[in-house]
Amino acid sequence: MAFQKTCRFCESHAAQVDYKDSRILERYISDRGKILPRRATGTCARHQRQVSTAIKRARYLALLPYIRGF
Amino acid sequence: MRDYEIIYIFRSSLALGDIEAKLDRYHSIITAGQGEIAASVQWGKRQLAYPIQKQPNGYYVVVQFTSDPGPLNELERVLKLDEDLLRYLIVLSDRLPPLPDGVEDDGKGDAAAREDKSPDTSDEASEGAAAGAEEAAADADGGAADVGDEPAGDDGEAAGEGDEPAEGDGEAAGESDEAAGESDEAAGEGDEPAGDDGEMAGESDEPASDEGEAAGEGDEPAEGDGEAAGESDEPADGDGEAAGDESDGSRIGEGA
Repeated sequence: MAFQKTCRFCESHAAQVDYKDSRILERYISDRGKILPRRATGTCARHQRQVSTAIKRARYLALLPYIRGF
Repeated sequence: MRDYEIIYIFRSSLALGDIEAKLDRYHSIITAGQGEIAASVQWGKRQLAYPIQKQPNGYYVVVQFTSDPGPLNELERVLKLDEDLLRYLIVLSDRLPPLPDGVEDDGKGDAAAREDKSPDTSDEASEGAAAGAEEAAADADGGAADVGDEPAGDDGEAAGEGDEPAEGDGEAAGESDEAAGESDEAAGEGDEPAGDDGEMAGESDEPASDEGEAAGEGDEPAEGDGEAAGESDEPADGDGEAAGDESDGSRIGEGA
């Protein structure tokens, strides 16, 4: 499974991506801590926007790093 | 009245009693403005992803409440003055799942949150339970994938919620099997075992093209392997392949 083809959040019928769930968000950042593009994760447009905000909030709260692996 | 959620990060050197006292003080601002505290969960001391004010750890508290916008200004003013509060974040939580949340794996926080939540409006509570169940199931996925972590706790939760824990577990197991099969192939090819290995680890959770390349160059295969294994460690929550990859990495490393 090199690429996820479907949006995980749509599949799980999540109303909103939770910024507190760093475990899930971890999947949507690269090994350098950058937000992964939709083409790599298969996230739908709507949820990608939510993922993006969620990751930024999680970063502010030090749940996720801004940069990693330097 | 709107629903809000606030996360506090306190200095972890603070005594528990002090934190409670501070929380009471903050929350009295909300309740004085006819707001209401809906749920509160203490995540406890956690390692920060990066140091804040030179502190490596912070004490996290998550609180959901309803309030008019008015008291929030006063609340924020007070929060900004508090030196022991490393950071806070207030967000609208109208559409966020209720607190039973599973970010913290120990399950203690969850239980507390559920207890807090249940005496509230029954509609909300049942909704919350449903959402919680879903999340718990999702967690079971992650937990099972984590293998060594705390699968027991997660599984127990999922079973307790009774959603579809079986499915989650099955998937995770299946994935890891696949991974093992694939990596066996890689070993069989024997061409550039280090390179293959690196790629595999990368593929399993999307990114990590860097590692793959580095290993592929074959300069220092041993180092490459080690890195690949480390990589697979981190996103372990993603998919069940981490364990398989890791053990494989070391095996191939020895062979090479």
